[in-house]
Amino acid sequence: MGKERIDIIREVIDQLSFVHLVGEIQQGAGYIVSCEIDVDTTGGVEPLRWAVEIFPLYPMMAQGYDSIRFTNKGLMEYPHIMEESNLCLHTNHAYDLHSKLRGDLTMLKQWVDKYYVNGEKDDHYEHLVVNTLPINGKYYTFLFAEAERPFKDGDYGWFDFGSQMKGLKNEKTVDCFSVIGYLSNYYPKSETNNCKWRAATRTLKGYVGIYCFLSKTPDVYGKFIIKDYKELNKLMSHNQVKFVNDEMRKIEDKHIIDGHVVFMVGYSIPSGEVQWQTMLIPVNDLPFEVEKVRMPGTSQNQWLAHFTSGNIQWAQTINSSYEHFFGRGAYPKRVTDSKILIIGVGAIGSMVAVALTRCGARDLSIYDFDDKKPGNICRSEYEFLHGCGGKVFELSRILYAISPFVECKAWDTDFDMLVKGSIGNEDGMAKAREFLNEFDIVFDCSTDNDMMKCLDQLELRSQIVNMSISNHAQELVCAFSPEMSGFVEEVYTKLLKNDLEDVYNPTGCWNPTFKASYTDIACMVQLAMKHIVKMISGEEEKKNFVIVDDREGLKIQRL
Amino acid sequence: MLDKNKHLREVLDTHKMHHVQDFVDKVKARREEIKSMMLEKYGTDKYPSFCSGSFAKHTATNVKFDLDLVEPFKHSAFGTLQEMFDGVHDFLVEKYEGTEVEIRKQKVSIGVTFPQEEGDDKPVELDVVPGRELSDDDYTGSHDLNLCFNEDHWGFKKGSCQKTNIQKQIDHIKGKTSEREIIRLLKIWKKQKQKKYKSFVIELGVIRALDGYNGDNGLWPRLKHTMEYLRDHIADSSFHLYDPGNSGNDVVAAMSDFDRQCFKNDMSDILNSVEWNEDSLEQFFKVNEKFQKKDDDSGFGNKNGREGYSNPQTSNRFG
Repeated sequence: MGKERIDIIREVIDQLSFVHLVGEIQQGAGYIVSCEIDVDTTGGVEPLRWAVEIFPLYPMMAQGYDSIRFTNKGLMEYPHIMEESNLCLHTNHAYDLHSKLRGDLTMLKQWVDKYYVNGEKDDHYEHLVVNTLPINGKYYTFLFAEAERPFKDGDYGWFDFGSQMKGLKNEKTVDCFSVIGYLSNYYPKSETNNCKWRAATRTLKGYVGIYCFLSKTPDVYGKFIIKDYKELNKLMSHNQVKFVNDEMRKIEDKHIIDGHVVFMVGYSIPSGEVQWQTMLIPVNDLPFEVEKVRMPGTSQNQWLAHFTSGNIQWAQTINSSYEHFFGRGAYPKRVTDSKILIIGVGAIGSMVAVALTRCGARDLSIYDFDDKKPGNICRSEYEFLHGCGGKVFELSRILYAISPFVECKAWDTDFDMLVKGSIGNEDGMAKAREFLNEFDIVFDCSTDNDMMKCLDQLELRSQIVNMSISNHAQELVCAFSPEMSGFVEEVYTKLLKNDLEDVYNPTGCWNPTFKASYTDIACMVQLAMKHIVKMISGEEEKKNFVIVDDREGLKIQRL
Repeated sequence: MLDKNKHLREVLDTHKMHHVQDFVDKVKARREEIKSMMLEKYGTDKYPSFCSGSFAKHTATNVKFDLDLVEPFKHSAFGTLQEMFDGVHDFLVEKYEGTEVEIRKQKVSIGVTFPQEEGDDKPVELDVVPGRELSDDDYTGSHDLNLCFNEDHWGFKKGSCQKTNIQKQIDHIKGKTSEREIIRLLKIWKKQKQKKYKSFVIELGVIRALDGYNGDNGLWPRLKHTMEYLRDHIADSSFHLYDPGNSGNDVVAAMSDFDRQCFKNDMSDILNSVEWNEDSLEQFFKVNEKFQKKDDDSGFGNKNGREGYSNPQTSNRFG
């Protein structure tokens, strides 16, 4: 097996004109194959020598990494060379060793031509590489979001942060914290510069750390984060170092995390954003020394603080600003920037609320008078561990747990009176209209015919979307204002084959309800939301529709 | 199951003009009133006025109909088309001064709205379309007219001309009884669903679709064939519908790509829905309940074994 691999490797190297084997191919402990190769360059430049290691899983990847390493210790300043002098290649996939090695060596040659010979740089910005190792047996992660105001070079001060739930990684605890806001000492009269989370997230705060905003990136070779405290002396002003030294010595115990003071350094990156990096400094081993220095041109002395040498313990620090949080997929701004009300948060309403939240909605209000029961959980977004109580209150907690950007108002009384009690009375209707017209979009998932009719009668400026399903989730009906009730009535009485015999009757005193699983309902609701969002944002023509589940799958019938 | 031909017939019947004959008579009386005024004012500067619009084409429905009055002027009557347009407008303003009649300039016509009378659902509205023959004494032989393009949505093209031949447009649809039924159905759909497509596109599209059609003569087969044709062609860039009054005027080319795609989608949505459930035809083509026969016990409006239009019980809809 081993010999066969070596033969194939040798054969591939022999076949490629730009690669030359130097010496013999060795097979060492753990079946790791190693050798040295020269890769041709152009323009009279000496060939580049690489040490090659091929691991037993090759050509497969292992834990997300390629199982081949090309190393050259003299190339640290070049792009994609990692701290251990190995080249970071994202190679193409191949099932067989021959094709894979041929492809990888070709990519190595391309790297040599592009970066070593031509000296090209990438346009795409890459964050500094930070090796976050466990600190006293734990991992630490800090999340921040774009602040309300920009930072200026030389700024320093304190920042608030709060704790999130603990995670687990490599059998170790991960403590996660959210940065809430920054209070500058550099600009003493300024107010807290909050991260743009929703207001409620800011109540998480409980810890205080120290920050400095740097005029330069704390990097080595533009790729790796600095590792020694002493490097900070070149990056921070005297005032910044003095502030950090002074404050760390008097920071209160309650603000200390596992015996460490939290210190963040920020810097601008090419996108115009601010990136923060967080280090944990042990309070019983602060890396400072203070020396007496004669002030230039005076006979006075001054005590100046410096960082002493020592390994920085970096924590993971992640930009969780709105654009990054929802960068992989969100609804259009026409929807996410809307003020949205959901009436009725049963199976459909709770799924709509969660979908809106996961897709970037910022301003939700939810109404339902009903309590959550354990029997609701199997086909809605409610959770067992939340206990019992009003649906809206649990749902708002769930939405807050999903997105730090959503504001959610929840209430379980008075809404019916406000809407239904207003009909036929001019003042009442005006009041109801004024209240409801505050919302850009109203999802009526209540399945309450009276509510539907009243909303029609109020002739609101808001876009109302009425959603309901038939028994067994055979059909989902969606109607847009104006004039929803006529359409919905006709569809249910004349078009749907709604089986009202085979319904679910819970034991004891309860109303019969429909039968359908979470999947039955969710796939319809998600398809409906996809089209509702397109219709509201103008990508599709707005039309009432029915989603039908037949043998060929889900079909949307626009009526 | 819905008898589609029977339903569509009832849709047409309940939208017939005779249901609003009294109102039509009022409109006609107002039209005659304006006709006389125009004759008195312009005498030999114009040719005899004539009626156009959906009423003249027999494609009117009682929910939407136009009684347009075309006033063909001699070439020498005005220096420019804009002078013609403004002159007619100013004359009507002057004649109705001190009354509640509203006169307004529209794209190629002057809109006249009379005060709504008690018992009427809407006011009497007429459009006066002034047109000028292309050159001296040309009209008698050709019936060609230049209309004044007052302004479009953006205010462009003001004062420019649009050549047309309204008589040819009317003749194009004359005698096409079968096509007119389908045109009326699609115009009813357009009105009910508040679609913005031009009726002229529907007229020309239906006539094209049914050109050479020799299939089942029922209303539904004809409507289905038409909708399939429009679905398959309207968004195709090589599809054209030329104004019979001006072969250089492609009415489909004047539609935006988005509108053509929407029209195609609309046709497709109706066909798909009816294929899914024949009863959904009623969602697109509704009977005018105001003129529905109340003693009709044929069961229309009630699905077999069901109780008509009653609200669904709360337990019928779930969420």
